[in-house]
Amino acid sequence: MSAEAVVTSGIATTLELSTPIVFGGLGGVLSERSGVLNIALEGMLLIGAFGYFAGAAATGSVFGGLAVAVASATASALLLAWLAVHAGADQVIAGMAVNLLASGLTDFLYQAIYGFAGTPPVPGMGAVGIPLLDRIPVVGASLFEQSLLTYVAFLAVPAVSFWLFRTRAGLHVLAVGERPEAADAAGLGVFKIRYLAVLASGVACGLGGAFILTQVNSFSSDMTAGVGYIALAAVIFGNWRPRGVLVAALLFGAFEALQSILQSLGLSVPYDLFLAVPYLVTIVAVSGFVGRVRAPQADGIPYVRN
Amino acid sequence: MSVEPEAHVLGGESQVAPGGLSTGATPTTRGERRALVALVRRGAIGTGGTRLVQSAIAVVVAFALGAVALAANGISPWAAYAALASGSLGGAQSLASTAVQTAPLLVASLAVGISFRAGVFNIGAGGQLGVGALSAALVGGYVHLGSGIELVAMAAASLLGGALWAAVPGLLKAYTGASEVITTLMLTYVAANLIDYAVTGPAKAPGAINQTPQLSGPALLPTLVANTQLTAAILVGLVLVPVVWLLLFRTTYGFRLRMVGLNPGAATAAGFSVRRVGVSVLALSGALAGLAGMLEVAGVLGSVPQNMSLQVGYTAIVVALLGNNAPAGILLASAFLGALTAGSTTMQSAVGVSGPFVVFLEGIMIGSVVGMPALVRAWSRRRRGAARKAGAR
Amino acid sequence: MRELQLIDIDKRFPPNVQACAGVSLTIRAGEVLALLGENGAGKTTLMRIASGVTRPDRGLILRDGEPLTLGSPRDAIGHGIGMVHQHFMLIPRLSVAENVVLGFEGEGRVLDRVRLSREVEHFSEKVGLRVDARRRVDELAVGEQQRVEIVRALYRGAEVLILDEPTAVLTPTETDGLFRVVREMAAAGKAVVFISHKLHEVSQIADRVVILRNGEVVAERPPTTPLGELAALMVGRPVEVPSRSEAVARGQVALELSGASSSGAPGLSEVSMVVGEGEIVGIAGVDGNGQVALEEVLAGVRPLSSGTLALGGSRLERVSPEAIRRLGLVRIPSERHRDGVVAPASVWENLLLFDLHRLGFARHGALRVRAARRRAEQLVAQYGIRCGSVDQSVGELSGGNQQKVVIARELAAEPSVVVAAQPTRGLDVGATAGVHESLLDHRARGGAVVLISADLDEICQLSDRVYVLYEGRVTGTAGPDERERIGRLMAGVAA
Repeated sequence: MSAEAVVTSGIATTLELSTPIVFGGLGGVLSERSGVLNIALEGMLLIGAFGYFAGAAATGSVFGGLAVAVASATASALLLAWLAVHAGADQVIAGMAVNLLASGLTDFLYQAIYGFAGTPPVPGMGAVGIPLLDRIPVVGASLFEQSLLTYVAFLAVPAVSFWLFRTRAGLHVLAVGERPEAADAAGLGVFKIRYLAVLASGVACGLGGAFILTQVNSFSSDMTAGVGYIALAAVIFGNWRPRGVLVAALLFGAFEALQSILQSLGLSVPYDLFLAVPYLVTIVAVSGFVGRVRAPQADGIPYVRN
Repeated sequence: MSVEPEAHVLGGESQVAPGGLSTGATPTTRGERRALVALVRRGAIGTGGTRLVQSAIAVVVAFALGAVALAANGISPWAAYAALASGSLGGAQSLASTAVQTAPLLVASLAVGISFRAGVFNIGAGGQLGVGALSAALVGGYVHLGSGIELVAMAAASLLGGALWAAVPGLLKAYTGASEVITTLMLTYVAANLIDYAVTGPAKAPGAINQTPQLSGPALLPTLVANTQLTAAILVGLVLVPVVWLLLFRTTYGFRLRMVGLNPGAATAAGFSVRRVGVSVLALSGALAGLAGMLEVAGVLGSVPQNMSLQVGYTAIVVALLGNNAPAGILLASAFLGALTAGSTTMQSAVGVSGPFVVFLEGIMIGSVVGMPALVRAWSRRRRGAARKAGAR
Repeated sequence: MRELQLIDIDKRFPPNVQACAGVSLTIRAGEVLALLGENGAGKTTLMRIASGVTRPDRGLILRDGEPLTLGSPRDAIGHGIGMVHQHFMLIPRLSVAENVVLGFEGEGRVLDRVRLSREVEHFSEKVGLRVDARRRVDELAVGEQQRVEIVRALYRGAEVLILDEPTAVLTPTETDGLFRVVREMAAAGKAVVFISHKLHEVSQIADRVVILRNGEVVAERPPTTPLGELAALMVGRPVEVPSRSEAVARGQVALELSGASSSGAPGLSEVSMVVGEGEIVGIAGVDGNGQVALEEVLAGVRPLSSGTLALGGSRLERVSPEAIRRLGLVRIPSERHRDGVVAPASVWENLLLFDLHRLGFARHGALRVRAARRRAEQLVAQYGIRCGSVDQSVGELSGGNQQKVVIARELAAEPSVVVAAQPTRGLDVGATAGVHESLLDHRARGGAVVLISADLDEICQLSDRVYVLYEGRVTGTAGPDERERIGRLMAGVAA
């Protein structure tokens, strides 16, 4: 492989691997900034992936797939929101419930619906080149020859960041996630805001799941394979900021890309140990060994109005 | 008063006794049972008896929703559930298979239950189980000691491996305030990757398959009933139930552990160290989870494979919740979920759906258990409201 | 607005706390109204009702004669009622400007932070409470945070400003500044409600003083009323018969604190006291004058920054809860639910909580459950704890019985010194009598008791001698019959 090809494929792979982490991570940021701990990212991504598969198979169109992906992941987010916000359930357990449900339900439905008939073909989402930019030497083909969803993910980062930190609605989300009782006293609807924030994380995970599916165009059980937990790691490592999530996602993606390149170059690398790095980095981050990260103050604590 | 542990990264959620995880003592007297009934009526929750009712309702809800899901896909729920029952309870083979599924789950759930009792959220039992399995497989595969001693050495290795793996989050929580929810969860994935690294690299057995060396003879748990998979693993589990009960309710350590879990403030005022209990309980919980891994590898799998399923760690949370973190409850709940898993194979051949359906049921159960208090509250409020309206008229 | 009337307000918190019982109150524009009362007298609840945070069970709120419906704090703000809570309702990680405008950002989806900051700063200068709008709230000192709270209430158009214990967190200089602001606001035609239990402050700032006790208005007085009278109105109870027996011959010194200082708000400063065997020493004082610090210092939970603590004549070198307990000092904590009982655990487990090893209920790490339960049953009978069985969880018992569990456990340890902190707070008359009896028994057996109580009647009824705490210092000692003098000392007036 030429050096140029290595760089090109490295960047392309990094972006591909980062995309679902960015989607999941943005979902995590939205939900946790409002005070709802979200360990259900994995399950919501999985439901999104299955949703795309089922929707695209049924309608034969990409947009049908995307619509069902977003709708189904948002429905699972609604369940999480109900448990965590309304029922005041422990949010860790509520998240586990959604993850188990997602893992079981998608696989069950896949068996039940397609088990006998065999896997139907689903329309995928090819790479979309951006005119002119994709002709830039070396980086053009990798940066600007991506799935539509990758562009969406990366453009969503500044958009969510702006929304969260520069708009009125964003200020309300932050207030609710920091001190719900103070937000309540200021007349903000704590429950409504938390519901909406969790639902928004469902939308993001729907898109992320759809992306995961369109990478292979077929569904398999638990196909998200921990991406949701890496996204959670990115949320924490990124200090609950969209830009931080982006950096973390690129870092985690690049790391994985690096090892596959090294492998393809015939260098023996402990592939699996490479994969563990994002998790280890996150443990280091929450332990505050290098620049402590800080969760929103009310993250994970149900709000009870007296 | 009291020296509070450093602020937790996750907004202190690990300090509050987990809302859904009541650790109240099991009711023993008639007076208490009566009080419990009153509590149920008032819509309050959290004590043993109420939780038993809740768990039962959760199971019913799960089966009902499961039936809907089956029917919606053109599968007869009746046929599916009949297959599930016959595959888990119908005949010696089925029962044996239920016991096989139950053994590691039971031990892992006891591990989770102990940590919940202390108000510590070990949600990474899967990872500790994996490390325990790997430790046991390495000892069993490379160190040959002869029958009897071999298994003891493997068990010791798994206990130690699991304990060390879980002690890391314990120490991090005690000294840096890092939430064990995140660290145990993340370490589960690290464990999965570590296993895959080991079985593809340094600990790979000769041959094409990526796994640790196949265990044989003295490194395998003895079979109890000929021509079944039933091994002594289930005996280990059954022995551990009273042992854990004794530990929790008949030792001073268990007393400290429970008091810290129920009210860290008063426990601190009484001179118990919340930190020390936190670290030791995670190590203990990890050790048990590690042992569950040894039971799986020496009782069922025979070696640690690539992509070993660590799902048991999550199922154990469901079991602990359904069983109200009480050893006897955990025994019942793990036998129940073990039966579902065992029966799912029969269900597969009968109606074409299997394991995932059981996981789906588990998800509904856990959701129902934690969501139920809110439903009960809403229901009793509505009823009270209706009564008030009726009274006004 | 000319006046805000609260009429016949009732509020009950389940199971049995009557926070407000038929309270009526008029708040007039241009005046500073002080609400004076002990902790738990219902002041805060009443004002939370007026500011829409809490809903009353019954009662009317009228603004210039027109009834208001206050479903939320936002409703109250809409009617010009704003409250500065004792625990500030600020969001630490947001800026001052963001906190001030939160929920009232004006038009537009996008926030113009520069414009908002400028606006907030202009506004704050206009009302004479300069704040740096761009700083983050968690970077501010407590006094500045309070300023932000007041600015916020005014920014939202408050005509009635309620301040809940506003000086609790302030230094004397900051307090002077606050008083100036309060006076200016009243002069500008606003109504200010000043919740406090500090007598001299009330007499300094108020135009009118309304005294609440047990959820009822007991009196209204001008600020010129003698402080002793205010103190008596605030803490007094209707007639009660003292039941203290004749003085027991005082024995040796059981506990001695000399020159003790500690951290806290307020902490102790240079407190010295001596408690002898066979006597009850009362620590009188209005809540929040160092009682918590004293309690925790004596229990070994809060370290001394200077000074010494001696038990049974020997000075403690290393003060720790365990060491103190071993030397025979036990505590009935003021925060029962936090420090005293493990509510979900059973009666017998709670009775076992301390002294597990010393009492011999641990044998090689095993818990001797049967012996522990037997002892628990004895204690239940001996102290008349009403419970279904020793297996019942303490959380299901009444407050009085929970306190009995604590007292039984502590006295069963056969201590030489009992530190009883607010031992009858929240208990009914019967339970109170039981607690008093236990303490008097201990004294009769030659034990020493330190009774920290904000209830002056209780102090006078039980104590052999009284120390008065004021702002973390002992301002004087008195005999139990010198009520007036104690009242003056409690008010920080030289006696």
